[in-house]
Amino acid sequence: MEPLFTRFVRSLEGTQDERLALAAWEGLREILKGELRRRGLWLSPPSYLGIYTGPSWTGETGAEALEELVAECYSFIFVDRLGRLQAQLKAKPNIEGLILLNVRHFFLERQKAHDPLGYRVYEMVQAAVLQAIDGGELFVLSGDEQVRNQTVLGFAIGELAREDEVPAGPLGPLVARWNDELLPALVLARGRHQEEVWGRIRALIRQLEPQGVRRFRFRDVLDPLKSDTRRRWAALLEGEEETGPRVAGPPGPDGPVRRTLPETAVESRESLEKLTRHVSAAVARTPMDPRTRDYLATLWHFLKLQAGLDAASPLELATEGEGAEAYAEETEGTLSQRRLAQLLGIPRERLPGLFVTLRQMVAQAQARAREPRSRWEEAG
Amino acid sequence: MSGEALSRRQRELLAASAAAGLGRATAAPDRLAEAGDVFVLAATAQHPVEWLLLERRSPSGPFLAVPADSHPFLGSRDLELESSTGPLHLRCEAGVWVEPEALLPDRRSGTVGAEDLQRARQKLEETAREGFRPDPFLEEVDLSPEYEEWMREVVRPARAAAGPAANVQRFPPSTPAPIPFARPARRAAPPRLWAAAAAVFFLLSSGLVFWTLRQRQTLEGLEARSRALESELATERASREGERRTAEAARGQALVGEGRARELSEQVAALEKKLEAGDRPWLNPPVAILQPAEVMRGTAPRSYRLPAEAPFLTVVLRIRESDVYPAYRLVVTGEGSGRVLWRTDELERSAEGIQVALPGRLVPPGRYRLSLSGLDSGKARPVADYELTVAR
Repeated sequence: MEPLFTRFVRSLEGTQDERLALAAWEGLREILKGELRRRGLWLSPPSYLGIYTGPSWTGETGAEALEELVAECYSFIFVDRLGRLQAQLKAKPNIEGLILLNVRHFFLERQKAHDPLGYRVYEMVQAAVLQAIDGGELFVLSGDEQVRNQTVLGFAIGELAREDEVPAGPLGPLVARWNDELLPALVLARGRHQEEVWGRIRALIRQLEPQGVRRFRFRDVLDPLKSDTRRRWAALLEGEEETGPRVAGPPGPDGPVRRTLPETAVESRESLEKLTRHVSAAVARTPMDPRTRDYLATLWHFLKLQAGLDAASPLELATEGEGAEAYAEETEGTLSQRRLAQLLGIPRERLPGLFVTLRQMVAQAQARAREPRSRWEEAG
Repeated sequence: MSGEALSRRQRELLAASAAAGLGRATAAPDRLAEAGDVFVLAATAQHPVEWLLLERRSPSGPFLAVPADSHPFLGSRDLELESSTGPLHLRCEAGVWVEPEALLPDRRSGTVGAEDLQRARQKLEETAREGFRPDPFLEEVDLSPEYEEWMREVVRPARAAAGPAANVQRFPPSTPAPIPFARPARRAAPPRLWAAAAAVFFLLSSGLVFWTLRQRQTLEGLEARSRALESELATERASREGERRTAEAARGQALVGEGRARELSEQVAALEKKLEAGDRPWLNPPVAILQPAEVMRGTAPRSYRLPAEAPFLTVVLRIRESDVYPAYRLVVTGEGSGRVLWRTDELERSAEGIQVALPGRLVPPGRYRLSLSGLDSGKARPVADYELTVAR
């Protein structure tokens, strides 16, 4: 007999089989529970994956949160990507592996959209560690060589290691201090500047060895750095005692539940990533000097991060026509434009004009969203 | 779908799946392949990609195709478009020419509209014409390890598999210039002139005008370079001739010339002596045969004497019989400083183990760590770690 998901996908071309659908749903739920644990998300708020029905995956509201996640993932795989799965079934005897791959893609997309700070830190540290491995500074002692949470890394090869043998305790306080020199570039650096940050992370990792750390799990470094980044980023963007135009900041680091993004024509249908491609295409079509283009990209990068952190995000600033000042007056927990200009390395006097330009770009994207589907995706 | 019966939401989702599935089942008429069709290729069945046909070289010739997948990340060279069976993410750096025989009617998985097809062609042409230019809004994805892994593990192998198995030719602009700030490639081969010439030949025959123009520019550049080299050569010859005449004139100046001649003579004699020494056996060369550190744990470290006049310390690294790799990476680091002193990816195994002669100046008295990894398919796997102590 064919495996469960293969049978289910085949069945969708014919008569609906509710019993098979139920089995597929339950199978998907088990895979998701395993993936939540594997990624170290089981104890994190469901909001990190865009699920807002409760504060945790356990307890009274945990089951509801999990069902919500299953529904979202089901839609991602068996509605949005069903055509791709059925295509592969023409050349493969089964697609069970593809279901797991799609679950992984689902988590990637959700984490990037709803926990942008955590995902950003993960990508930066992973890139630095991969470079360190290439440079012979670090070695994979056990686990996935592409470096995942459970991968055990060491400064010397030849030491046998098992994932469960590596102590995690003492690394937290050591790693948390890294942000003294990594922030804000860890979050904001783009392009070639990312390489500088990777170099600094590599140097910090090398300093672990003289402090007696000969091997560690990737997550032993990643988790405390993520937590500290969330905490410091929130503090960094907290309101200042200054009058004048302001933009919104994020809530507390581990707030129980975050609200969803504001509904706009684009966002209700498509992801923030898609909106990014629209804005990119719109900027490419508009004549402007390279520096302005770079400022816009830097500002957009910041707005995207904030959009994932807070419902009252600066994305609204760009999408609503009220203007920065009017918007800011209504917003608590804000960041002054002076501080924003400092953070992003953009001249303060340029910020209002850049916000106006981005608003126009987003408005164009919204207009295209109202056109027939085949016409509005002009980004690329 | 908890409990025995489906909930309302579950029914809605199942209905959405069924609607999508039914659309797919009725969307594949049995006709010949044409531009705008999406196919699954038998040759790339092990990779989760499909191929969008962009254009055809001639009425019976191969199709230009680009791989498409559903990975959620899209970088500067990619394009998202809508097919009859859902969204497709086109990887425009990986086009190939696909022979029509590889396109079986029952492997057609969808179609895209004329407008999207045109966008895809434009994107491919842009990529070919301008090379890789990171989009400042998308470079975050370009540099993402997840994205890089997807391209390395799925898209590029799929392109390679599509080639020989489906009798396709590689689309020329499939290897754009590397991202200047990207993570360094694990093993990069240097460009070869003959490969460039072959590419030029192929491109000229392919009829891709923009590529031809680009190559023409390259040829013009090479011709200009050739002319410049000829000019440099002529200048060098003139310079040598001038030096010779100057030397002859100098020979006439006895007081100045004698001292210089003696100096040169001594240098020549020293060189001759070195050459003669190269013909004679080198007695008692220092050799260090090292066992892995984990084997030596608990034993007193041994130091190896390296006389100041010895040019090399030959090191033999013992490894397990089972540690067989096509190549090996060795990283030499200073103990204490942790600084990488030297590394290579070009070692090979011999019957005695891994052998390398380290220059004396590289390993002055001190302690060193030698980390050996096996290299296979671009990945490094730890083999063993060795400790080396050098004394005078």
